[in-house]
Amino acid sequence: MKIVSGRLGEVDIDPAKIIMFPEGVIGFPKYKRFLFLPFVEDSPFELLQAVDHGNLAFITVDPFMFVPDYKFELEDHDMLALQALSMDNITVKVIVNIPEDPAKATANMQGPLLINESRLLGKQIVLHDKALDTKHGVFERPAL
Amino acid sequence: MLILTRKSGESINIGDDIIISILEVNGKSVRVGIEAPSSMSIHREEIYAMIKEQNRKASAWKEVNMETLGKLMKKFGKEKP
Repeated sequence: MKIVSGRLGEVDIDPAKIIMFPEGVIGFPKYKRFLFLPFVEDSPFELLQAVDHGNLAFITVDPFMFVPDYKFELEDHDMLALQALSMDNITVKVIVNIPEDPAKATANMQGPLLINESRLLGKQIVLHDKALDTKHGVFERPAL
Repeated sequence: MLILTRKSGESINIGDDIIISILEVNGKSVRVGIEAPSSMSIHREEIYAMIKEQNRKASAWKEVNMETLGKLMKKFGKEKP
């Protein structure tokens, strides 16, 4: 199946890899079908591309790569939405915001994307811990 | 917007399944209790708004030096902390 990605151009995709976000992504509730595409070769960054809207795509990365002790609890409504009984089958990604100076890229640690890989269901959740940063530097080395 | 005035100890029903209770009023803060089906998500508005704003910024097309970005991304995770 071919789709058009604003960032990658025309892409051939496997429809079996499409993930359903029943509530869309926060702020964009209308677009519910997404899939992960490789963004930069040989890097852990991917592009979460909306299947039905070429210009709606987010750069994502595994948060544990730069915050190894990142943790949170899944609330009932999130577990229900993801049809998950625990975090076991859940993959976590965070959305990366890249400004004009790419070295200042930040990740939103307060609104991670959770994906139930076996059901191809996804949801962006809102964490209540105010200490979590919506603009956590990705490429910066934090002072210890 | 429906506007109601409630006192500490009073509640508001929304539909059959949602109850909002004013638990305590302390100076400028109000302690609010919410009973709702677990399938509904409840958020502090400013946090939700921040996430929406970050999403909007993240999805907006920007002119970025792809070479620099590519280098940063490839290096990422490969260096020992």
